Amino acid sequence: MREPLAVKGLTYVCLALFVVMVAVPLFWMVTTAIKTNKELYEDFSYLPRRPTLQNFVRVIERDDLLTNIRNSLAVALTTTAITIVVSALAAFSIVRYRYRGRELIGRFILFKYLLPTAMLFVPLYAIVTALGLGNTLQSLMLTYLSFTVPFCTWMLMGYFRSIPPELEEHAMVDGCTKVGALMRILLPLSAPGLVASAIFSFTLAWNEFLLALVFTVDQRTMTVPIRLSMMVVGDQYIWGQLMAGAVLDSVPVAILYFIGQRFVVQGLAAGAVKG
Amino acid sequence: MARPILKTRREFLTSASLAAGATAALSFPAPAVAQRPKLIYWCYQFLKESDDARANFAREWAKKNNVDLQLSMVPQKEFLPKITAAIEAKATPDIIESNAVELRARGQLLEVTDTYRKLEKAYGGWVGNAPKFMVEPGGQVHHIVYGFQGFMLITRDDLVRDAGLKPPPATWVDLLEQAKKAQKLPRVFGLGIAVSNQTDSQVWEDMMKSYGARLADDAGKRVILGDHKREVWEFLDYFTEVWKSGVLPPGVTTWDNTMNNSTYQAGKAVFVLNPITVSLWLEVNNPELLAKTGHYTYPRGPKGLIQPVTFGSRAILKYTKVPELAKQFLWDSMEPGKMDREYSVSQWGPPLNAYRAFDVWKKKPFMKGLIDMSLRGEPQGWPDVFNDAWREQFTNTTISRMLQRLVVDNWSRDQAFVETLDVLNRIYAKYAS
Amino acid sequence: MATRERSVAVATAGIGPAVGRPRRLTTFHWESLQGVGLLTPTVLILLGLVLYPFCYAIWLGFTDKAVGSAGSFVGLANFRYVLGWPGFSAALVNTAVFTVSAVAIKFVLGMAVAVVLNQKIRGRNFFRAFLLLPWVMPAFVVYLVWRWLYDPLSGLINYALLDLGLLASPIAFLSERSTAMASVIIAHVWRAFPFFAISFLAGMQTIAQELYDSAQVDGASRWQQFRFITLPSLYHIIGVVLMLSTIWTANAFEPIYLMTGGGPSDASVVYTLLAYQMGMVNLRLGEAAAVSTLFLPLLLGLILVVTALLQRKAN
Repeated sequence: MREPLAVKGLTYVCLALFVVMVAVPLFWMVTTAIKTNKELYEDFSYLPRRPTLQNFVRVIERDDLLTNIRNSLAVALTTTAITIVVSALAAFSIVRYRYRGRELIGRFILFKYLLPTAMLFVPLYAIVTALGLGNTLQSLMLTYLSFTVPFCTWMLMGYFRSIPPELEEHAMVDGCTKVGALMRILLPLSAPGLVASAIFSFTLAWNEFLLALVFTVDQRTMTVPIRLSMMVVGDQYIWGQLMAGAVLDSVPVAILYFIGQRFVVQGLAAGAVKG
Repeated sequence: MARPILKTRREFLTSASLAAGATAALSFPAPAVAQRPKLIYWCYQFLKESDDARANFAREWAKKNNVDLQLSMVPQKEFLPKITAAIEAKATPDIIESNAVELRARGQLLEVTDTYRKLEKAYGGWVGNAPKFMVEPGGQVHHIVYGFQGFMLITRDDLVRDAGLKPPPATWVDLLEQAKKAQKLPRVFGLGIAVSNQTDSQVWEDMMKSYGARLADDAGKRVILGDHKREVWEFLDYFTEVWKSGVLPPGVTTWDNTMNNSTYQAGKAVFVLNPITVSLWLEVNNPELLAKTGHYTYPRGPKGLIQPVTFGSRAILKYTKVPELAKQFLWDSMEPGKMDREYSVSQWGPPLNAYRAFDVWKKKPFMKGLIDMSLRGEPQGWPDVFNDAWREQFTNTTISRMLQRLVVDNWSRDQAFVETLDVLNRIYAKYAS
Repeated sequence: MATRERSVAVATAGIGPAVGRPRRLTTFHWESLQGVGLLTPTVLILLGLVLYPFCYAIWLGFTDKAVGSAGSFVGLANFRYVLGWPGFSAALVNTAVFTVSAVAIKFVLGMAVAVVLNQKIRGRNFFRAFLLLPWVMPAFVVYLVWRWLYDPLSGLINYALLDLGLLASPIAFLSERSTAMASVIIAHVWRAFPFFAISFLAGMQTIAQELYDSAQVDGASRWQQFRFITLPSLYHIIGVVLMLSTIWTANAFEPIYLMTGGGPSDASVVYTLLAYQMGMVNLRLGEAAAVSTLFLPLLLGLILVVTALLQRKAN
């Protein structure tokens, strides 16, 4: 359908506004990352006078940030993978089966978020140490599930509910098992929900601070946010390195977001329902 | 059409298993080295070169003594959450370098009186009030001070002299005069002191005490500030004058503990009160500015000089499985040669007399003031008793909040004073039993 | 179309699938067991990692536990102390103000961004990734950068406004009572709106294009299409997102801690700061737990209000 010019124009204007809004602080971050330490304390300038990559070099070589990025990736990917599987099964169970108590769980699963991590981290740490997982990445992978699974379950519950069960019933008549129908029919149709859940899980795990701070002890086990926070040392901010680290930290996630977007095609669900 | 999704899932599962596998490989425990004792050391992180010096020493020490060392750098502001969780989960380190006083009050530390006495004998005795910080009423010692630290008056000597005056100012009133005359608005402000909810703002409490006010009685149990209304009002007169004169830069009501550093380092303040971490930064990043900087002890108030010092100390948690080894570490880490190297990149003043002979005092003249500060400095809070109640009101920045009520919320003095007394009474009442 | 309407009706009525299909008893039992089995991992997670710490945390509020010492039961002492604390009412008000304003703004902005990103625009994939970046970075980096942007002596915002002639002298945005809370909210919205945008976008992407096309043929304006097609399809997501965001925003700690420390004075103190001060700084876990517990009713209240509003809209 042809779009009226006014609407198209408005869309692009809004887009431009949003881009500028997001870009300004990011611009400041990037330009700070390429300034020398000395220049940061000189008079204000919009652009760096003597751009340099030494902050990036220092952060990679001296502070070994790539190890921490690798740690963050391992934790975030594993957490996300487990979350998607567990949440999809749980959502499927609540929406497509009948047994006592499922409505209750479905309704109250989100109440978990009432509790701030600040209230829970001490007993969580006790559990983690009791399991012998102190100072490991696995401790994070396990505990992060407690805040990714509830939301993803809810999201997928909504998606599954909005897809008519007839499709699965037809498949089962054709010889497919119930769980098989989940894999072959329901999940593909819930692609946007899966992607959104994956993004949500990944980002939460990537950025989480308090639990990572308490559970990991040495530099080689740390995730990126903790490592970066150590650049806020005492009563000085090491701005250049901090921003360089932050830029490096954003790159893997931005790439994953970009790739993830490609797996959602608008109207995918519509085609399947109609057909 | 449905294929792309399975590809995603497969992709996710593949990458996840790769990641999980990588993690498993990463955290595969090193084959147990037979019979090597293990020492867990939480190293205080505050200043890069200083932290590195301590960490490197620890690693060499571990190699020399065939110890399996687990070293963590713990930023000072993150220490408390970590140690809380560690204690509750029974997964504690052996050696710690932060908040020993709080942990001592909670009975978490191992007694180290023998190490204390050994150091005293070997290195010429303790300096200034060091024993007061370490020895408890019953004679026991639970932590070893390795350096004094305190705020100094860091001054742009060049700007003050350009204004025809001679640094340092002798009294707080002189400070205001010099600040007013030497500042170069709108770029350079006279005085960079926070009036916020962060502890750098607590210099105002020291100032108030130099006007003769006291928070609590000599036992440290009952709040008597209410009896000192006259002195407080005199101090508030001074504060109001400072505020109205415009020597304080905009934004001081939400300054955190880094802002006075960065303001001075950017050349935007004439006077700041801070540990010499500022100067150490300048040494590396802006030596020209360091050359123009003077370091002095606090100005006096009408009723005397209040120069508080705090300290860095090392302690052993009582849960340690290697008490003798830990004490050995404490002893070895106080060795003068090692300390000389560490002091040259740190903001510490000497707690032991043997340290006063270090090279660093000659090589870096701007650090000489630290010796003076160590000799004369009183425990934080003096003349109030340095106890749990005082510490809680300190971290609560009670006096600074009173000042903020005046200039941010336009409360009357009586209103603000009544609220302050209420808060102090509640805090002290909690610990009175 | 009929299929879609029916599924919507089924979903909103909350009735399970396959109503009226005859089942043999054994099949039924096996099915429910299978269902329960699929749910088990989630239940385990909830019990072990959520319920147990939660109960522990509530119990803490009734003890005088400080770090390292076993706490003893003190009844309501902590609660009385916290309620009597001079800063408590300010924390209550600020938390409510911060939460309501921030969530409202994030909702509108997130929805607008989602609508734009749902259109056929050039480079859509790139923009979808780019506009989500604020959410990607560690929170403390974001808030430190914003703090710097707001700085009166060296911050970009003041310099730009001065250069453009819109200001005569710098404003200390974070240090004046009148602007502190708003400034924190703006920084927080910048960081957190992508959560709304992603969720809404995900919902919008399942709406069939045919619906819009036929509405256009029927002469509906874009705004009408949004109101009558887009919004209704998003009710479930809107509900979840609003509820979650309300809770998270009310529990926000870093934006305020890093940018103003609760200041100036008590202009931006929220309850999490109070809990932090009492628990982490003063090492009195009992008091901190009491603060958190006291705010649960407030959070529950906010949630109930949100869910009630949504129920009304759905009916």
